[in-house]
Amino acid sequence: MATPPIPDRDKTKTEIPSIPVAKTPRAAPAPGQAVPGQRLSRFIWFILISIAMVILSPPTMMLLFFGLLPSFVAVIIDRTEGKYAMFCVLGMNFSGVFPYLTDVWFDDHTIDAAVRIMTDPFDLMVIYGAAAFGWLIYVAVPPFILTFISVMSERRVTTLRDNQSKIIEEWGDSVASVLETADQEPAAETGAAPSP
Amino acid sequence: MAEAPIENEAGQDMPPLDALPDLESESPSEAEPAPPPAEAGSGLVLLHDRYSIDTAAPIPELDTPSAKAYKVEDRRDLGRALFSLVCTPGLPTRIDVMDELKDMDLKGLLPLVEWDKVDWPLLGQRSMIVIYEQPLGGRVLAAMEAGFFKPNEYEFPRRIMDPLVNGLKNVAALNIPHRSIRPDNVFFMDKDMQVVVLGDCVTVPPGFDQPPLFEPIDRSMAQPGGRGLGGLPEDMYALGATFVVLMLGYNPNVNISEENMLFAKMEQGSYAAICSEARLPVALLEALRGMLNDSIEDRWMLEELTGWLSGQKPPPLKQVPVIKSDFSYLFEGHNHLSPRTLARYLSRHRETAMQAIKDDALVGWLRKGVGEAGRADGVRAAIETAALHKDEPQGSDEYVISKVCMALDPQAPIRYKGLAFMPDGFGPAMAVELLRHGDATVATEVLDYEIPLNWYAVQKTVFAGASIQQVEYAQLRGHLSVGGMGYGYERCLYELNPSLPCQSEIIIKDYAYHIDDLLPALDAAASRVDTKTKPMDRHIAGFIAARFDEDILPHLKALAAPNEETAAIGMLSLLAFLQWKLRVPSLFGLSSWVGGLLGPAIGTYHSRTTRREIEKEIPRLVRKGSLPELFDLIDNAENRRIDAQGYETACAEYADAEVEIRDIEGSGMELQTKAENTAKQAAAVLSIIISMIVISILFIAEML
Repeated sequence: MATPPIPDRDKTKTEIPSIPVAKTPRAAPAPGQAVPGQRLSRFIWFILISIAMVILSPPTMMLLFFGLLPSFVAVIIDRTEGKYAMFCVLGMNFSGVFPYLTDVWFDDHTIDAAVRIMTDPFDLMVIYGAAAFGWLIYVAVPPFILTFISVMSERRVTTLRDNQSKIIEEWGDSVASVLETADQEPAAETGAAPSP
Repeated sequence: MAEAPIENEAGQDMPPLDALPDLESESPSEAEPAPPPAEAGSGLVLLHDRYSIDTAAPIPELDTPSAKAYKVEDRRDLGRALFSLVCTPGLPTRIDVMDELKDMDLKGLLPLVEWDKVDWPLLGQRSMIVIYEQPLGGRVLAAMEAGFFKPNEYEFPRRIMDPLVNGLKNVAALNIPHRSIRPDNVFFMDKDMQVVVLGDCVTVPPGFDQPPLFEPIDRSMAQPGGRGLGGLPEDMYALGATFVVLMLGYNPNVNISEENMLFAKMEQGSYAAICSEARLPVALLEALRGMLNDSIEDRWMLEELTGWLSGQKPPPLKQVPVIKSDFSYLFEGHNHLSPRTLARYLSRHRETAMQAIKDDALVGWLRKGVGEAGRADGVRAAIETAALHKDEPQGSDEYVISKVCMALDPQAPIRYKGLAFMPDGFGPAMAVELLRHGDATVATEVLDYEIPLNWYAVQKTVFAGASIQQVEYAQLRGHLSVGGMGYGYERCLYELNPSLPCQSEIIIKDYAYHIDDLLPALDAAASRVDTKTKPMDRHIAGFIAARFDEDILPHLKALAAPNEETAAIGMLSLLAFLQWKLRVPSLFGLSSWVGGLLGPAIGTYHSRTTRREIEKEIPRLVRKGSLPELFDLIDNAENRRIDAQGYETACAEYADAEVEIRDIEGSGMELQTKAENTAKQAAAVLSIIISMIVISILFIAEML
């Protein structure tokens, strides 16, 4: 056998792996939130397109205007960032309006036809009922989704904790202390910062 | 005193410290005779399966001051008369000389038959045994005192001088100084008292058992252990003094104390001091004057003595006048005429020495009385240099006294804090110091403060080997300055005393003087010591470093590491390297011992599975008795690499999991908001999907 070598203690030292530390995000407009200039521009475009549509297809615009009133309400009252209530209501509301739009487009493309539809209680019930179903989705579905997400997250956390326990069991507590060291460093840096 | 019997220590663990002479002891020859041996256990001790040593059959008449004699039987030649000398454990012996003299039938010398270490039951430990052919006629001096032998001045040269000169000539031809020539070490080999031989010279360090009378002035001032190897001039001097006693049949100076004899030698010269009280035949005076000349350059050597014995006219004798003062200098109640005697007194009365040194009268006495301005300047320079090093060891009183003694008597031994040794006798002096006091603080200071360099600086003549000695002292200081295992005074001790057995408490009973003896000794010790202690200490490390010819620097570095685990691996690696290099077969006891101490080393692995596997594997390797394999198991480079990589990966995995967990759990409302947003987003998507399906179906229906 070869000469028994002398252990180089440095070799046995394990380098502390670097731990990803979350960086403070740069201040930026939230996704989907337009800056004031863009909002105005969109509004002008919306008006122009609406005017063009009124000129090109008055019955369609009339149906859309009166039929999608619940959606306009949802747009106004939904102050959340993602406007999820609006999408729920609009999606179902448009489903309710769409059959009557096809009637106007393919059968009788007149203002009278549009007025007739909008004054028929059954039609209105279908259109606004669909919008109500949209609201129902918005109100009823999230709790179910929330419960599902919660269960999935807990399951994932449990799995990760199990893995961590196995790692500690095999490699010792120092594996965790490496992370603690990494956590303490930013804390120490913060503590060392001069107070204003 | 040196003649305390080693049997008295029978059964004791420690070497017989009391058996050694005190630092400033009386000579062994003048000490009281040895008391009768204590109850000696009976039993035979076998050496090399041939020589049977009877522990119940001591031969007191053949004892030396430091070794007891026992009857020996040669199993292959029962008619052969042999005796053994049992050396004092802990005292360095002259193994190199034993090797040279073994089986050499040299005329005029007691034939050395065999030597080795054996278990000596009377001491309860191993000891060095030297077997000689038994001198059947006993001691020459004893025969003279008993009146059996009384040569006249005409017979003396032929019956005594001639054979002893031949004996000395024979050992000198081998370049070996005898250094144990004294009247009680001269024997008749035959019952008829015709063949005279010189006795043992290997059981103690050179000059150790010599009474000061038989040592030249300089070496007689050193402690027995520090008299140094010397050479033929010292043997010639001892032979001259021995001739004086043997010619007369008694010691003419027996009533003069050693100290007074030394002073007489220094003030009158050795010849005058030794022979002044004796009525010696005129025909012998010339030879004695030549042999007892205090000047080494002018002392008779073998050629002059052989020529004188064969009747040739010897060269004219030169006598160097003794340096003396016209008027005396009073110190400690003694009127000193010679600076040599004053130096001796200063070194022995250190409590009042500084007062005299600082006294201008001393310098005045040296200049005007002794007429030695150089010595006066030396004293002055020592004081002035000390003033420059006020708070350093070089400014201490002891250091100044040492330097002043050197200035006053440059030929004298190096003297410091009561330790007196010739430069070539530092090793045995250190060993004896350690044996007597259990530590070597003074000897360590001598090296640390470079006191021998002062001695070499004041020498007026260059002698052979001076530069080599200085280099050796510098190396020793280097060893001393490193504090770790394998260095320190222990390393110096074994470097200086090649025959000194390892003094570690663990294996001191095993008398391991050779590196080959170490591992078997540790293996044997495994069954009797507490295995929670390490089979490694400063003595063992120093012993290995001094006696093992391989480069063990990395092992020593690991051994000296402050953390337990590296030190454990260093210990295992060093022992494994020894076993591998020395081709020592299985060491079951030591492997088991070391295996039980590897907890910290195993703990250096991060992986518990690896640790468990190693722990599982250790018993198998212990059963093989292989330290190299044990080391390979514990510190395998590939295993280390895999473990380190695995640990890094584990750390990364743990950190990733933690980051993900933190991401999932978030904190407080943030988590709820996040989940709600996700749920609402899902509801919106669901709504749009339903819408798209409905629209698509209606559109298709319309188209159809």
